[in-house]
Amino acid sequence: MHLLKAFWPQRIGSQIVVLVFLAVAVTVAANYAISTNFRPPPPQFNDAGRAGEALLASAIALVAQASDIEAQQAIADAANRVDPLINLKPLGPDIEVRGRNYRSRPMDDVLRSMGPELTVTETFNEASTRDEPRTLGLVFKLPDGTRWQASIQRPSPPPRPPPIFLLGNWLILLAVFLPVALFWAARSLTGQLRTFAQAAEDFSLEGEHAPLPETGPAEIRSAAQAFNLMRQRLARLVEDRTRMLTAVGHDLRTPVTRMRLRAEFIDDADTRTGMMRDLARMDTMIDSALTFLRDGGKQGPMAVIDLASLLASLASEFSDTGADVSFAGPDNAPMLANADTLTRAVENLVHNALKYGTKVHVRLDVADPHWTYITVEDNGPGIAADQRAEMLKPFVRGDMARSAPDGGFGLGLCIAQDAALAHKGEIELLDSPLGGLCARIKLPNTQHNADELRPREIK
Amino acid sequence: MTTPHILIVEDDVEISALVAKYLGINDMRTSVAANSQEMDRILADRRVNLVILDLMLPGEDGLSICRRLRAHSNIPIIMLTAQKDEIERIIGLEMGADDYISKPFNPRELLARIRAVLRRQAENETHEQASVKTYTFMSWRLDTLRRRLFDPQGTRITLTGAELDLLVVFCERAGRVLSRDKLIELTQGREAHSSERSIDILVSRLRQKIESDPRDPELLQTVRSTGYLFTPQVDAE
Repeated sequence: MHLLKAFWPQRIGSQIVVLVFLAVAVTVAANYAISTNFRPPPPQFNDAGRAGEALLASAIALVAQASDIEAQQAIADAANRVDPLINLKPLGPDIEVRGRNYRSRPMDDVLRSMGPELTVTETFNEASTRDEPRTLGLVFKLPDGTRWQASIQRPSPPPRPPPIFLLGNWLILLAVFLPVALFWAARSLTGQLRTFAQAAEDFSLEGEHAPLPETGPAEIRSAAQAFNLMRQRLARLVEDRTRMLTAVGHDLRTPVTRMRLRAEFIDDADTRTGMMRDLARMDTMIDSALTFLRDGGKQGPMAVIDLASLLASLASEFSDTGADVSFAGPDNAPMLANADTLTRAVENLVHNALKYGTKVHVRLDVADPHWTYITVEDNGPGIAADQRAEMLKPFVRGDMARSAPDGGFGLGLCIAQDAALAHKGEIELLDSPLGGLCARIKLPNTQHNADELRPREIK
Repeated sequence: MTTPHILIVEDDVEISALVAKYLGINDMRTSVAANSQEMDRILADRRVNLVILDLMLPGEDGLSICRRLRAHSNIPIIMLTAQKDEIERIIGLEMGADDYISKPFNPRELLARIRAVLRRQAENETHEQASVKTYTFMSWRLDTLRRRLFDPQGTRITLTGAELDLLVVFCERAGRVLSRDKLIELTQGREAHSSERSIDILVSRLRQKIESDPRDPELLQTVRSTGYLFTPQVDAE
């Protein structure tokens, strides 16, 4: 098997050529096997023929030496009896033999053995139809002038398959073997291409992804190698950027702490309030940027959590500070998820909603057997349908001309989308019956019955 | 008590000076240390009521200082963490800190926490009670360090901070009827101004989350004209 592998060509083009060649070769071999069934083995045939020729030659010589017509007839009869395929007979003076002086190997051999006193006048090679036995013969004169005919009958030729049969044979076999070979080649080729395409689609810089297997024909191998290399480079690039930005974010905390402390001692109330507000804004920005950078990387542990209480608590925390945030949903809704990620996502959505509206409604919908929906609706201005895709990108805010009214980098929707994707779900932006935006996180259902899953809290 | 003496252990000179100044105008005496040696000297020298301890210190780091301090003293410790990360907070609490605050912090919040920790100490809460890590009742599990609640199936139930504080108080005093006033005092302190209604709302929310039938509560029962009673057997560890 390894020997075969050693000879199997590397490149796709060569593989196809070899396959076609093999298919044709198999076809030819099969064809040959079928066709030879119709031909009897030649040597046996030749032996019978040769024996007949030898007998005929001997009989002619004997007839030439015989003394009278009775003896000649007796010899002829005897020879004819021994081999029914030969026919030696005297010809009447008025029998015309329509010879055409055909040459045939058997008759040539007989001719050569005939003595010089015999004169050959004609040779012939006849058959009434193509399938009838063929008769090879000659006419000769004895010294006394009598004419004799010596002929030998070839046994029936083997039935030959009609030409259309042979052609049909070829076509059928080719139609069978060639497509099988090419189909197999196409399957393995597209299989590898499909793996490649799937890996490219699954490509993400987060989490652990096995590198593409670098196997298969040379072209696919080099494509996989290039892909893996590119992925490594990209991951390293993002890692470096993230690390740098995270360091900057951290380092900003110390001067901001100092400024916040100093702000307490500013006598002028307006200045003091202004400074504190700006510093609070800076703190929020640093926080959301660092959260975004951190969560872009590793995925926190999943555990079975109760979504209903998570969202209810979130709504309570907001409404305790005076905001109009309400929650509606089932009493409990266990689900395999990361509580921190989802909390952060929904918090961001509610923050956004409060920035642009006054009333926020959070809803949990578990009616569908396959999906769980978390919706955050507000009565703000909403987002125009053609801008929704854009808003999901990081750092894109509603009104890019001004800085945000309440801090914020424009990361809220992006963080929510990351959270949804991390749970293999998605986020949709729709219109809300309240008048503003409806942000809907759609998560695939994992476990309905938490009894089946008893996770140990991951420490 | 007389003006409390706060020791600030922080290597950034400006931050410690500013914190000292701020606490000073809020009726507190302060001392400042930049590392563990200076801290040890001051602690040996004078009576200190509370230590504000920065996690990131040169030489011996904040966590090991915290553990060392806690090993032979009940002195209240508030950690200053650099990150809002849960891990640092939890480790600090495990090491024995009483509270934490992350940078950049609101000085007023720091002041409030200092006062809360001092008050808790003054009200003679034993250190053992403060260091209970987990309460279990009817197969429910309340992790006080991570501030998480798990139902009998192991599903994590999310509570707000206020709900959790109230549940902790109920666990500490299970089997005793608690009036609304007492509950307010226990969760927020004597100077709190919350209304009794806020306790009712919290109890209602708690029932929604932990009772199998919130309208017919078994765990958290109302005792008419007296208060509330947390009925289950509670184990602490």
